[in-house]
Amino acid sequence: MKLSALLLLLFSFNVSAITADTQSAKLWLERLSQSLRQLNFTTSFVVVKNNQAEPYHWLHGIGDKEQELEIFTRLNGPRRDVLRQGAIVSYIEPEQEPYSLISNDIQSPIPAIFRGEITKLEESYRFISVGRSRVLGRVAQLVRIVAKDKYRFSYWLWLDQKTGLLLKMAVLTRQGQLLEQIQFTHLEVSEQLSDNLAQLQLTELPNIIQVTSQKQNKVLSWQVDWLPPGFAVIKSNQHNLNTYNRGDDKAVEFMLFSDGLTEVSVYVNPSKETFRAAEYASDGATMVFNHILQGVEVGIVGDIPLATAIKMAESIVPAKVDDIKDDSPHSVREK
Amino acid sequence: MSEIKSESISSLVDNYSPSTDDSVSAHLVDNMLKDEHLSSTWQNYHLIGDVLRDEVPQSLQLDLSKTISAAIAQEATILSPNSSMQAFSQSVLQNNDSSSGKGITGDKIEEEKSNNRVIDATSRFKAKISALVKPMGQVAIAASAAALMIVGVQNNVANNEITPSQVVQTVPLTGYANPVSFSVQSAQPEQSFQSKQQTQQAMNEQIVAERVAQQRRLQALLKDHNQQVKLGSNIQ
Repeated sequence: MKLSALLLLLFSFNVSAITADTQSAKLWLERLSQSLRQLNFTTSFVVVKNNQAEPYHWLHGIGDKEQELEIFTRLNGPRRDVLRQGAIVSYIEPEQEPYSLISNDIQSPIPAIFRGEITKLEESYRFISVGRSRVLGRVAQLVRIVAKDKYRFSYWLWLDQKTGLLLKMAVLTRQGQLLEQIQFTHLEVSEQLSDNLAQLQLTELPNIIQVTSQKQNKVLSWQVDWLPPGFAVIKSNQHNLNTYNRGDDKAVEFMLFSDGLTEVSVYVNPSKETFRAAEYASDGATMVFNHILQGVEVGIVGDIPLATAIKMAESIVPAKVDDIKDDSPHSVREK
Repeated sequence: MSEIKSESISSLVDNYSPSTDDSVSAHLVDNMLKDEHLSSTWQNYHLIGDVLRDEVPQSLQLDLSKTISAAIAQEATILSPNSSMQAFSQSVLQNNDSSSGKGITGDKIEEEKSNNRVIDATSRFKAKISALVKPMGQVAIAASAAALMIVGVQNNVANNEITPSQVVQTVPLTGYANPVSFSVQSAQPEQSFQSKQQTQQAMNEQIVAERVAQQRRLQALLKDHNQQVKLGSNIQ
């Protein structure tokens, strides 16, 4: 009797605590998004994955005319920079000529959604505010973005109590296995725009390339019948899978799906071989999956568990040509 | 006389003492033990009672006592089985396995044999104990694991702001679900050693080539994925 009363008490306490935690977690994430857009900061961080650490430098500031300026630099190995002036994002990479894009997103180790409307994630993730600890010599609030189903990973964020900025991030499986971490090693928030960013403001960025030059939104001959809930097509096209001058470029039909936080690419192309057993590799949280089944090669890449990729790959079927008015959200074909 | 005795036995079987005096019934029991006829009567009454109460086992063994006493007669004498004896006997057993010559000095074969009988009994005894202890042990382990979990969870709540402590270690880029298919194996059994070696080498080269191709494929996919994510959405 006593025990059941205690359990009841505990349970009711937990329920109320969870709702309170979700509310405060949401506020924390909104604050993060705001800080990432509005503060002048200079930080360094290290991405830890595959038993290796990759250091980065990250600067952000607000220039003249309220223009956002941003620099991401990878510090080890060949230069790999991302520069941003407002809506123009430039990529400087060893494989190709520098180019610019008109884009709201920056492709960096920090998920782009953190800068945007983070509440969009509520469909597929739960937000839980957990507790406080010390990270980077500061008081940090731990907020968990927990996957609602088993088809995606969970993210833990440690946010600076003072500025709301990110201090640490971890990507974990549902079982709690750590896949990838980002640890900030330096954080400086200032009133003034830093010198580097002031310089960037005056720099002329590389030419903007027209993404429309790609064969876009062609009717694809394949479609994915199963997607994890919350994922939707954000892009589909046909292009050559660039193997960087190895001469074995091949045309693939490509679809990009996103659940707001993470993207999944699906590649489909006919193959000369009729069968090749499934093979996969993981790069931190990113999973690369490939197989050939009945003469069709399927590749899936994204920050998802292997089981999700396999389920998606198995659901690929030839597009139904006759029902053009297929309004299913999972349909890959675009009109 | 016998009638009266049978009657009193009957009441004894039914758990009624024929007399209020304890010594009388004690006397009766003594008599019964001595007299074979009376003890068989006792047995029969019990059987009748069992049948009436419908408690007869499926395979009816009329005289359990005989088999039991026979079994007791056959049973080896159990000398106090302590742990040192067990350790010793185990070593003896091992020695017996390899060669009796390596036995512990001064031990005669006969002694070993008798020891073995003791071991037999003790191990049987132990087996029974362990059969009993095992489920209890499992329960205990489960209980302590649960306790640990509770403690762990509580600890976790206290500590989890720090980190999941282990450093990232996942499948490296070279680790695959299906490294290579070995279906190409076609080595003939009558091949000479040299040609076998050559096939082996060829196979190894094939494996390496296959691995490289695999890695290239996966790398290409990963690179293209990153590129496509950069290029962003083309669906408004």
